[in-house]
Amino acid sequence: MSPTRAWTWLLGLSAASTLAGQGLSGPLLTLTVLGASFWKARVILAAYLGLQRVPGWQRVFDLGLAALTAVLIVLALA
Amino acid sequence: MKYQSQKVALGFFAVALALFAVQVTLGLVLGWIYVEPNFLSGLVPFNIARMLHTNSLIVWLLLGFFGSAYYLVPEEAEREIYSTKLAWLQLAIFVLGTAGVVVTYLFNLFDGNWLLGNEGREFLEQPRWVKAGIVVAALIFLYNISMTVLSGKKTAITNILLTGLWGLALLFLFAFVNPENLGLDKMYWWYVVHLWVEGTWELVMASILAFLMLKLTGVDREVVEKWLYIIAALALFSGILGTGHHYYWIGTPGYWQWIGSVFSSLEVAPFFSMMAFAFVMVWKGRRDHPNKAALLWSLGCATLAFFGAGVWGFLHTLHGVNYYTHGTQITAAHGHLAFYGAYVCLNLALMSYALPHLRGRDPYNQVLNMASFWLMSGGVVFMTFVLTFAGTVQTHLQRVMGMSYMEVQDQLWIFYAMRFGAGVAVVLGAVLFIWAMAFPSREIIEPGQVPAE
Amino acid sequence: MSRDLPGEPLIWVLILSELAVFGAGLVAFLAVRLTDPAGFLEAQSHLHRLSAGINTLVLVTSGWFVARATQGRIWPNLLPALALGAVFLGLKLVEWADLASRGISTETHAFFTFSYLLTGFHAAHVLAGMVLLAVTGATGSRPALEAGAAFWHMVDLVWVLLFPVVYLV
Repeated sequence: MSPTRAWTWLLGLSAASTLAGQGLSGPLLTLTVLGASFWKARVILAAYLGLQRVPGWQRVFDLGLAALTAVLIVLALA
Repeated sequence: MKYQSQKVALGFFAVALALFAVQVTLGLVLGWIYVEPNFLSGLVPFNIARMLHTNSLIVWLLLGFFGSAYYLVPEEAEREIYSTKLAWLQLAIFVLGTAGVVVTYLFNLFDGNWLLGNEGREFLEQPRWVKAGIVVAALIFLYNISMTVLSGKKTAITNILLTGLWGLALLFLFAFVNPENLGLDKMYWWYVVHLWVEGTWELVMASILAFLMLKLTGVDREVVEKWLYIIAALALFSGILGTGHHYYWIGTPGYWQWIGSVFSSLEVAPFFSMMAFAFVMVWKGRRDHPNKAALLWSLGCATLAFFGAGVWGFLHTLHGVNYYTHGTQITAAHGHLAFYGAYVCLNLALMSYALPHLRGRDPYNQVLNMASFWLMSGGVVFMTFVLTFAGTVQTHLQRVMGMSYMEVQDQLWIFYAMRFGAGVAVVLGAVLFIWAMAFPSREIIEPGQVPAE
Repeated sequence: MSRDLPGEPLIWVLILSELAVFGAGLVAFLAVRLTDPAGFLEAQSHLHRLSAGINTLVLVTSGWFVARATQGRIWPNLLPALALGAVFLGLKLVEWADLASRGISTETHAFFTFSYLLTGFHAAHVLAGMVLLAVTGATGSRPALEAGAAFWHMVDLVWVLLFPVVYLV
């Protein structure tokens, strides 16, 4: 993924979050917004911080981020 | 020993060990006061004995660090020490200051005098003239060691060691700040106490351990250096803001509870890395060094520091937990194992490594030294468990059930009695260590096969 | 395909440590929220959601410039990146000044203890990152700039995790 492609992903996901904030509420909003932030974090790690060149490490970070996001979602919905 | 000037380390080690003996003896006295509270109450009140116990600990550990620096810096920088005269002068100032403190504490001379008297504080309690002496001695030391390093080879070990020692000396300047407001006083003294043991001293510890691993295991310097930088980074990252865990209940703003809880929880990381580092180096190492005692102390240091500082520290560092455990025997349990594991064992490890070289007696008596490790460590670990149980009972009775302090103390007597027993083992171990360092000149068992280096 | 993390290992120690700190902060924030959901919701309504949303775009775009700086020409990309960093801090200051003028401090409510702490720490990193980018850019050395850039991306990364939890959820 090139920097520009990553940038468009990030802008797109931010737009999606904003739209979700307008239209959705409750658990659906939480899931959308935190899901988008998980994906944005992945994009930054992969494209900007170069983890796409080391798939082993990328999996480790994906797992850690997924765990964090899962905890955040559980706490936000509890 | 490659450089003649390394010999000054011997002087520092000798004074350090003498103070070590004083420190553990007073510990035993204090342990007995817990069992029999009126013991010596007219002659040496508890608060004075406690002051001597903690302050002699700090001073001998510092002297050990100075001695260690004088021993290892010449080998790293490949230079003689800039001036051995300055080193002896520095030691003399420390001895004079220490004697002055002890005499002032015991007889409360010059009470109320701005320059000569006590300040009435819990830590950082030295008459002002002694504080000034400490600063002068520290400046002499830093000048001496920095000049040596600057004129010689610079390594990661000396870089981190010097960073730690400079930071240590500069932070001590906060000891001169003594505001009327006790909350503020505490805020500043943690700049010294906390940023020493959970900041700058960790850098000293990491660099001395790295030196020992380099010498004892024969692992490549590049590998040791990479670990050293990571450990130092982790120590500073977690330790500096970790100071917040002392700011929970002293009137500082509430956000410190979260800063303190989050950052101090991460303080486990540098201690865990140091333990991992020590074991990985030994595992990877190709060299079978004959000084098994130094290796035992080094591994013991890394392991007990992880448990004492890391695990026992984490036990009561979250503010939700600390709300109940603050100032109970849980703190005492943590304090004893952390100081012993991290800094006592570190000093004894370097002494075990250096003394045979300094005194020209390889091979060297290892059996007594190693026995003293197990006796002392066994004693401190047992003490830690006993105090942890005492603290748990105390927390429940006093903070949950709401019983009065003295009523609860009666319930803890059995733990204090066992702690005294553990203290006896520690003192015997310390005596054995000092004897093993000072007297035997022949090996009791045959040295094993030593591959040529 | 290499097995090591790209760039300076110490930067990765830092990235992991920062993620641990901010992750713990966000988890603690949502955990404490459980004790007072209504109070948190009310408190959240005082924050400037729009300005923080714009700041996401600002920071993400700044990250794009920094990524280009490490691959292509340095200053034509670094200057806009730094300018966007300044915009981010400017918007942040406006928001804080407004909150302060309404008498909202860290002690007003647990929500504000966390929101000030988390956004304050993050903003301090933005400032540090700008200094780091300027210094490493000035050295002209590629590995130095890459380390500075990695720090900047970490600041970006923290913001995309922090923003939705504090402002939206």
